[in-house]
Amino acid sequence: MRNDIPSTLTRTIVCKQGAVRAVRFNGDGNYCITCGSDKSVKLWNPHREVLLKTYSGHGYEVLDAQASCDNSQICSCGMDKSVVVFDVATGNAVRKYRGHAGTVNCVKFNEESTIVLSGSVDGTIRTWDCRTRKMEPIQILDEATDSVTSLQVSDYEILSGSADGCIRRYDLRNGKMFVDFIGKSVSSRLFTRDGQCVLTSTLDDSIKLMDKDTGEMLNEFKGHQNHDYKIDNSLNCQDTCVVSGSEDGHVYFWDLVEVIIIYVLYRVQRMDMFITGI
Amino acid sequence: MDSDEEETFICLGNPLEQINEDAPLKKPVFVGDLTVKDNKGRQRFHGAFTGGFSAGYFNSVGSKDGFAPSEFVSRRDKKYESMQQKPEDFMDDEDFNEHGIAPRKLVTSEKFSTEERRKRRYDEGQALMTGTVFEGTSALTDYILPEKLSVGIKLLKKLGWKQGHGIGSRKKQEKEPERKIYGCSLPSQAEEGDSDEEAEFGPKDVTPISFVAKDNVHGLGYSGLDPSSYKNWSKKGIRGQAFGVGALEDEDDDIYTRDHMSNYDMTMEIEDSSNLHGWTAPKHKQESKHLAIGYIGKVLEGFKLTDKPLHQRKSFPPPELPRHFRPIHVFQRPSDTESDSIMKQKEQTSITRSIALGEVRSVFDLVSSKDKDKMERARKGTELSVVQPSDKNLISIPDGQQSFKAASVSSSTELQLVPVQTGITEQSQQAQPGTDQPKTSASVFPGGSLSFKPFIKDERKQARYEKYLVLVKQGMKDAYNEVKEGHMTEWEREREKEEFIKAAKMYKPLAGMIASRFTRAKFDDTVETVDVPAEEGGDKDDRVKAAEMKMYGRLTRDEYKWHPHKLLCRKFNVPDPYPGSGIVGLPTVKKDKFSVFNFLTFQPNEMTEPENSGIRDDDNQTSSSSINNTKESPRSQDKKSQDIAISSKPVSIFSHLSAPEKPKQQSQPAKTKDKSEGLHRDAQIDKADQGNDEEQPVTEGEKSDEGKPSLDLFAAIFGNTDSEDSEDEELEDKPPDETPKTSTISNQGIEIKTKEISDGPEYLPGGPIVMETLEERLSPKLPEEPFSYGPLPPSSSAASTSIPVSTSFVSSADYLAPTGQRKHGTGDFVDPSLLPDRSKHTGDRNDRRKHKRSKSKHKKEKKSKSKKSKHKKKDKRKKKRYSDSDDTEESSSEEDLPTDKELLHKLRSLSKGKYSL
Repeated sequence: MRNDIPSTLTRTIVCKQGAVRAVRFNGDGNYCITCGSDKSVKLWNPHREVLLKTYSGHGYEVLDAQASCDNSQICSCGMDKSVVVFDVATGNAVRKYRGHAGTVNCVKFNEESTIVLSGSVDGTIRTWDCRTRKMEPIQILDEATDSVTSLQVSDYEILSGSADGCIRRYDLRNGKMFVDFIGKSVSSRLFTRDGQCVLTSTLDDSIKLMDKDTGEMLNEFKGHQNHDYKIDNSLNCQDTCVVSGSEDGHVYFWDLVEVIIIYVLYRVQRMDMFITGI
Repeated sequence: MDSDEEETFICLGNPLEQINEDAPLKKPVFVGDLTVKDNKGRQRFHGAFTGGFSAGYFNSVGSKDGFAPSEFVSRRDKKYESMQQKPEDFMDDEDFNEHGIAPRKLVTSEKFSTEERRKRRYDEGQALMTGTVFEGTSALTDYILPEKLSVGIKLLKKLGWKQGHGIGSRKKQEKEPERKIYGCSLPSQAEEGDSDEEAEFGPKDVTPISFVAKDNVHGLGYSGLDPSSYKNWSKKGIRGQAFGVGALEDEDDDIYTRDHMSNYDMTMEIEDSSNLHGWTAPKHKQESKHLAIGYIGKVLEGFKLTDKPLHQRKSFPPPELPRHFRPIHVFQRPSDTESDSIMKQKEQTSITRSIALGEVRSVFDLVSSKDKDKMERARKGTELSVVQPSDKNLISIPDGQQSFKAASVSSSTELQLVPVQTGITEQSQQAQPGTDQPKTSASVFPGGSLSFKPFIKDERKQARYEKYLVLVKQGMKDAYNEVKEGHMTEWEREREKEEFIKAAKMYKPLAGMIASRFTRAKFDDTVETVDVPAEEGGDKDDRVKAAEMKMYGRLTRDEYKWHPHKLLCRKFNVPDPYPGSGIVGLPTVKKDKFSVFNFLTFQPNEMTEPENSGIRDDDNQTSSSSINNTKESPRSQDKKSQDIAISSKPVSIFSHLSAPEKPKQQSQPAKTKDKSEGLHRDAQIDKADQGNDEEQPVTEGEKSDEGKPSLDLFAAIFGNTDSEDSEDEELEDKPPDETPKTSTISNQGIEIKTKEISDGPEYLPGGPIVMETLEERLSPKLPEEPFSYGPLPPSSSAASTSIPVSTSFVSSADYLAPTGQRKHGTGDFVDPSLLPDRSKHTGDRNDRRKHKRSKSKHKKEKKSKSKKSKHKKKDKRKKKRYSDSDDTEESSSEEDLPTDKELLHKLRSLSKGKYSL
């Protein structure tokens, strides 16, 4: 066992939000945001177990949230088809974008937190300018033929995973879209920290490490269960190990290079989400 | 900026509180809880019933400092002046303010109150009405009086005008004319009149009446005889009212009547009925004097009869009816003979009717023979693009005749026609003059471009242009050099060249432009059932298969041009990759279901000119197409066909692997025709032999081969050098009853691509650049490419074989693996089994050329000879033949004297046959 694996349970926070749909750390890891099925978003200091603020404004379950880079705003999305940007300090909903035709699965700020990107069941990714008062999306990326399940934004790329089994990478710098056909519905994907690879969870109990440039599969991680739910995967800070939740309630850790399960956190409650940014 | 803006605004009132949705609602305040306060914030009412009111300082004394007694003023000096005290002396400002007991405020004085104003207005109105009919009727004045006097009236009034007077300078009143009184007169009242005489009066208020000046010396009221009526007079002589009666006149009854005083006016007084008129207006009686002679009736007051007679209107009487006309129509029943003829007409077909009517049978009959030749050439171009889309192999035949031969040869496959994208080829003609080979691109009707004459002003230039166009059509490399004239300067030449190129592009024949938008019908309309490819694009299949086999990479990756919104770019701090492009998102529409591009596997947005690859020769393709059902879709039935299939798949790894070693420059006698085996590779070599396109295929080949994973690598991966065997096994695994048709379907995409490529050199000036892009495009589609970084794919997935790659396929740098692995089969292997096949193709080629020539000759003869009816018969016959068997087709192709129609038929039957066979 390696010491860089978080193996001890330090704290349990009862959020009192019903089902917690997603938990996200903020940029520096000092706070975390929980998205509850009671339509609220809560901001916590997980280290002191303190509830800092409750943000309400959603009309239905909140599915995803992210804090902006300067921690001044939180964007969230949910089953009410809307994307809401909250002001962290006042707790007011600053923007409310209602453009999606279906449940919004995932939401992300861009690097400068000037744009909110949201991926929805309606198969589109919409880019919202949260600096202006315009309520229309700047651009709609509607290439996906099925629900967009996950999104990630780097400084010049937008990476999206879709239930149609494709990973689409939009390269703004080169003006290109790369479609990688995976075959199975993609539940979660993210760039590795070096930006060279893409870690992809698919609903066939596997996580694949894909080369970003060529679309080739470098590694495949198996052993956990994931065929029904959207379960987040993650990498640790050093990109040395892959972490994913599983439908059997455990958290699995793989060594990135050797492709072996190096640790399993047992008896974790069945989770639909995973804290990113370990 | 913001702060500045805020400063410039004046805020009135309290801003509305921001609605906080989450904040709890405030409790409503009841009236009883409210307290009345004065303007100083003091509670106004006190006590149980709140009846008391505040006084002094908070109900105590006068001020904060307590009671301040009024100052004592000595009045010793003015002892006797009485001190007048007013109530106001005992009031404070509260009493004086609005709600106090003696409010003081500015009020409009009574004089200006509305009440007062109304009264004055009424008086004014009354004054106006005096002297009028409405005088005294106040009710009416309310209606009549304008709310405001008009400006005109006001101005007039200021000028001294008075109501009821006329407008004009004032005069002394004219003295009433002295009445002449017969008999004794009344005593005059001249005394009062003195003062009157001095008063000035305005003119009377009358509307001016126009009157006719008296210009004759007749007495008043007398109108003389009208001399114009003289002609009409009868012999009876002059008639009229005059003094006395003529002897011949009848009107002599009253001769003896005595005059009576009543007939005379006693006074000279003006009749006062028109008192309003201040002058002696002409009387109506006098007007009536103007009555025309013979006019009977009363002239309306204010009217007079015109002197001139009215212009008589022309009238058009209705036509006279013939005397025996009866206004009843009886329909005649059609006679028997007539109905017969109608029935006959019904039985006629359009053709018979057209014959009967002597109509032109087809558009082609109208075309001049010169144009026909051109069309012929164009058609050859289209025939070139005979494609077999159901398989990945495609066939392209440079000659119509040849295509039929090939079709007949390939009994196992069906042919289909897909025209090459003409728009592209045409553009590329202009863009890159490459080969000297006659370009048989499907630039449909070149006549169209000639019919448009952009340089009509300069005839010589136009002639040069036309010549140039023709040369370009023929695939001349630099056509302009042939046309240019000696006397021109270099600069002029350059310019004209550019002009020509532009013009040729712009004035592309309409047919070509339209053709680029259409594709030939996939299936014959008359055929009811049709075999549809399982997947739209063959590459999809590949994708899924590759994904299943976990061979991610090129196969599973698609690359599209994607235009981000420019605002998005700005927000991402990224320069716009496509500055100035108005497009957002993917630049092209998603794949059209029925577009040609479905067969061509590359992405529509990357559609560059796919024409030159020179990988294969056309004739080879046709023959090979019949065979290569097998290959990657492992449904082939026997080894033989498998081999062929492999060879026919130029892009697939297997094809390279299995490709027999062959020297590049090897030439083969063209004699044998092996129906079952036609290999692209051979064809390519053929081409190399012929030398007309030598360079291209070679470079092409190099690129493509580099792209292929090396044999050694492959072998290393799968550890199975005996790959051929393994493939065999796999192939044999497939159910043998699988029809070749299905297999062809599954293999579609790539083959078609290659087809495009191979087509190219035939009609397109070569473009290595184009090739490259194409190659790139193709590369991701490589089936089962064994490249792998990271984990090796399971060896079971290696259905592929390691077979020497033929030299003709040389990989390009694009294909290089990032790791730098670059190995490929270098040996030139000859597969003896293929040799005869190839020879056949070269033979074919030559044959075809001969055919062409002879055919065209034939055609001309035929044209001159053939009658329409004959044509028809022939068509029918031909159809039958095509559908019948390959042999007949072959024979037909030789004996055929194709006319336009027939050729079309051919094409159609080909496409039909593709699925029906």
